[in-house]
Amino acid sequence: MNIDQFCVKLEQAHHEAIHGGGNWKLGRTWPDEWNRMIMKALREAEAKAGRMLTRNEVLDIVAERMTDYRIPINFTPGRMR
Amino acid sequence: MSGGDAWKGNIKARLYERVRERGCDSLTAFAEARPAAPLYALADQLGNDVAAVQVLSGLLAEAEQRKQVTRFVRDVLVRLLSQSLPNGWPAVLDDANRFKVAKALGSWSAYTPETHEERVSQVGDALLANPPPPGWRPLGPDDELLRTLLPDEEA
Repeated sequence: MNIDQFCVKLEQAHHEAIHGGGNWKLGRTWPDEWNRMIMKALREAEAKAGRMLTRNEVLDIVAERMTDYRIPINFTPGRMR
Repeated sequence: MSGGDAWKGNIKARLYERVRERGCDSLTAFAEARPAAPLYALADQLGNDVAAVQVLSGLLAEAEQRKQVTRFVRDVLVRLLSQSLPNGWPAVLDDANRFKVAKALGSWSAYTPETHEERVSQVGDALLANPPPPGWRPLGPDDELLRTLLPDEEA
């Protein structure tokens, strides 16, 4: 799965959930932090796996990290294509 | 999951209020009392309006003050490994297990401060190149193998 395309769709789908979050540290708003973090997690996982990740593997990682952010997971799989 | 509440109000104040309610005077102490628990489990114990990444940020801030950031970084890996590989390092690195390892290592990179990014990536490569014994499950940041791969360097 192409990670860049996925992340654009992810952002669109969860804009409302992400927007308006509070600051924590370093003065960055957490949407920026989320984007940076999830891209890193996916790219590094891909590098360590030594191959492109499948769609389900990408969703697996994203779901875990979303749990860490307490972002409600309400994927609509069709919208993620 | 009513996650929205985790990002409202005074996040830091809530975090420390919950830590104190549980009888600890620091997040580090709270986390050390729960070795190898995944980050989401630490957050759950503090309340469903506390996010694991908030705990992570707080732990990093405390580690910076104590000059124990490398130890913190090792601790994060321990918690990610226990989440991804609850039975320890796989005996066979088949496709499915390779992904689980990659997931833990990738998330470790994402949760690591910039100062330690490169070393963390190298440690990940080292673990893949020279795998630990099957069933290896670090119980905390002082795990011998981890300390060998990512030793404390702070003055």
